[in-house]
Formats: sequence, C-alpha cells, structure tokens
Amino acid sequence: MINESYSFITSNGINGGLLLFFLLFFLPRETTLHSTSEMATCMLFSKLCQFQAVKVSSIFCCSQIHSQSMPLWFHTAQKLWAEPMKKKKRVDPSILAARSAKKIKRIEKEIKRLAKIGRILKPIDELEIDNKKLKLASERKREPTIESPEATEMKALLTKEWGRYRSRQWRYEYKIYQQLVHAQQEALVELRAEAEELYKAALQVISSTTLLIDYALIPVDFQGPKLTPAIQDYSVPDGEYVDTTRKY
Amino acid sequence: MALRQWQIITSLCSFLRRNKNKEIILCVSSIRHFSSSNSCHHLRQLYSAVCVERHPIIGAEKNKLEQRFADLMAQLELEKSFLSDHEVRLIKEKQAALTENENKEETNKETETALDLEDKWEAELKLFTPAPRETEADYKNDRHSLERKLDKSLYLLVKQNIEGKDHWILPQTTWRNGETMRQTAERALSSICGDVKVTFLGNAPCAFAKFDPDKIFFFKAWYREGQVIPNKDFAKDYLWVTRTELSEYCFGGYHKQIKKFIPPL
Repeated sequence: MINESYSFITSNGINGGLLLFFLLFFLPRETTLHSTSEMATCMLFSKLCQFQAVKVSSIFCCSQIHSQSMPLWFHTAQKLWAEPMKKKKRVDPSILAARSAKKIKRIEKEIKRLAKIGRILKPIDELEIDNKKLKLASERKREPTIESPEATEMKALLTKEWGRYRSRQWRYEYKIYQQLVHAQQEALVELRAEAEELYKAALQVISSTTLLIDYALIPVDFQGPKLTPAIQDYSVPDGEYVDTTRKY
Repeated sequence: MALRQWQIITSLCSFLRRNKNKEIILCVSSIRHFSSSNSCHHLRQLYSAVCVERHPIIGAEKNKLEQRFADLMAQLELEKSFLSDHEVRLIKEKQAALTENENKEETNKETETALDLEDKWEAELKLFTPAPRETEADYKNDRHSLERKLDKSLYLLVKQNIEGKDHWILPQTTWRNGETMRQTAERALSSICGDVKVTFLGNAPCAFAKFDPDKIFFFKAWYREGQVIPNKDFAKDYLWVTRTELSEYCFGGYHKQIKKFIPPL
C-alpha cells in the first residue's frame, strides 16, 4: 500500500494534503517502524510536513525520526517561479548614437513636411462633391418630356385642388385637436375640484414614486403605418455588404 | 361615524410617521370623501378608465385625389431625375447591339445583359407575395382579434358589471386612497385585462365623464404587446373595435362622452 503511495508521489508530484489523509487513514496507530519501507513512509511524512507547514510534533510517528541522516528516498524539484536571464548583447555605442540620430532626423523631416502643408483635415464625405459625379451629371441628363398645353393645365389644376384639399384637411384636424385639448382642460379642472393632490400628481412630469424621470412615459417611439403588414416569421434574405468607408 | 373617522385619522398619522413620502399626502384627500359621503345614500366614487388604442399597422387606402396627386409627384420625380447606372447601361448595350448588327460579327459570348437582369428581377419579384392587407379576422369579423382592420385604430372595450348591469365600457376601476389617477388606470388595465403592455400618454386624464354621483377620468394608452385575457371577476368579455363600431356596443350617454377624446382621424 505504501509502495503504491510512493509511485503516486513520484509520478504526479506532491499532493500533500491528499497523501496525509491517505496515510492517516490506512496506517494503524500501533505500527512500529522497522522495515525500510516503513522508514520511507516516515521520511515522506516529514517532507510533507515541511511542504505543508504543518506542525510535526502532533503526528505520532514523525517526532522520533531525523530526516537529514537518512538517505533521500525521493526528490522534489525546486520551484523557481522564473527562468534564467538571457545574456544581454553588447552594442557598439557609436551604432546606437547613429540610430538615434536617424530617428531624430526622420521626425524632423516629418515636422518640416507638416509645417509646409499645414494641417490636413479628414474630409466629410457627405459634404464633398465628387467631381466625377459632377461630370456625370451633365452626361446623364434625361431627355426633356414635351407635354401638351392640356397636360400642363391639368397639372396646375390638380396642384391647386390638392392645396385646397390639404388646407381643408388641416382645418378639420386643427378643430379636432382643439376639442381634445378642451376635453383635457375640463378634466383637469374637474380633478382639481375633486382633490388638489390628485391634480398636482396629474401635472407631474416626473414619476411620483421614484421622483425620477418617468421612463414609462418618455421616450415614446412609434413605428408608422406601412403599405402591407409584416409577414409572420419571415426570414430576410442576406444581401451583399460592401463597406466603402475610406480609412484615414 | 365619528369613531370611524377617528380610526382613519389615527391610522393615517401612524402611516405618515412611518413613511415620510410625498405620495402619502394623497391620503388626506380621502377624508374629505368620507365626510361628504355621510349625507349621500350612494358612496360617491372616482373612477379611472383607460382607453387602449392599437394604432393602424398599415396606411389607409389613398382616395382618388390623393392617388392622382401621388402619381403626379412620381412623374415629376422621374422627369427631374438623372439617369441611373442601370439606365446608362441599357442605353450603352442598345447602341452596342446596333453597331454589332452593322458589323455582323457574331460573337457567341454568353454575357448577362441589363435586359436579362431586368427579367431576373421581375421573376424574383413575382416569387414574393406581400402579406394581404385584409386578414382572416376581417373575413370572419372576429372582433376579439387584434389582426383586424389593420388600417384603422382599434380600441379596447370590456364587458363590466356596473350596478347589476353589464355594460360595454373602457376598462375602469375605482380610485383607492394613496393612488394617483394614472396609477388607478394602470391598475384597472392590469387587473381586468391581464398582462397587456401599453404606453400611457401622460399623467393627466384626457377627458372626464360625470354619471351622477360618480366621476370617471379617462386616460389614453398605446397598445404595445400582449394578449387580453379578461379577469372573470371583473369583466365577462372584451372586444377590439374601431371608432365607428363603438356605438354598436356602448350606451348612448357613454358613447357621447368617449367620442370627446377618440377623434375621427
């Protein structure tokens, strides 16, 4: 059994806690230490105790044995927590000086160049007019459509009719908005008559419970009506994606 | 009665001592209510009702004038635009084909022309069918469904028992001490209709109605998501109806009041 534990140590390194447990469980208390294998066990114990910083005196069999006089039965490599240093290369100081001079020269050159041109700002693509496209504009003119005087007349009439229609619509909507505002004002007056506190709570812009901005109210988002409703469980086909953003 | 009022005041004082919250001041108003109700045989109550609106999902059909003007705008847009890449390519290929015919040099190169592309796109478009503007719920006239009348606003009605009679009304409940009217409205919705997510449009009521001696304050909310599951203790049924259908369900006086804040737009 002890031999087994031995091989366990040598192959896997030391797992002190586990082994201590192991030995305490399996060695009977009255064991006398005579044979070499038993000696080895004690050796092992004392080593373990060193590793684990456990007080040895409390353990029955280890107090009598001097570990140093015994031949070493097993070895543990020392932990270094580092690796040997590399030897530093000696460089000629003249080369070093030349190198730094080169560096300085390069930077100076760059400074000179920048001072000559001034600061170059990153262009805003949206504001730049592409000369190529300007050229294209003259090439890509559509042939002007020739329309009859009747068609022009129809167009003008339709535009006028549209203007009247929209103004009528606007007036109608305005009237409704006024009614809505009036209804709310009435309600607020009535609420104030009922209880001043309720009225004040109704005018609050912040949440009455947390005294913070009421995130149940703002921001309000709404997706506008579309031409056709969304298709249930529609998987959007992947399109091509080309990033044309220039890098500066 | 005096004893009862005394009890209320003492309990209030202890409550105030415990929570020095601003909101608790609201409780004070309840005392006024109790005292005023002494002479009245019916306890005067405040109600909060919530008008949940589902916005139109699709735009309304254009009328004749709108359609004509839209066509005119599209025409103007086209006339004033420049040629696109595709159109330039079409023109170029046309010219190339003409010169090729003159030279009569037959090249068997299979290249995709702009016209081929157009055919391809058209075929792709034909494969795609958009969802219909009229849904199954429209054909069945299923007024419980949210999938009906996609181009109109829908409003939530519930069948609540009021003084022994069933009425189709907006979900409402009585105001409790310590609540703001909006909190009451939120409670009305959550207790009657289950887990429906809405966005309230402010703390202020949008209108009020007086049904002596009670007063109802209406709040507007936008429907977001969730299915209405009516709580059987408070409401027997629910409906999603348009503005014009409201009159089929609500009784005259009530319909007149709610028309004030449900605009015909």
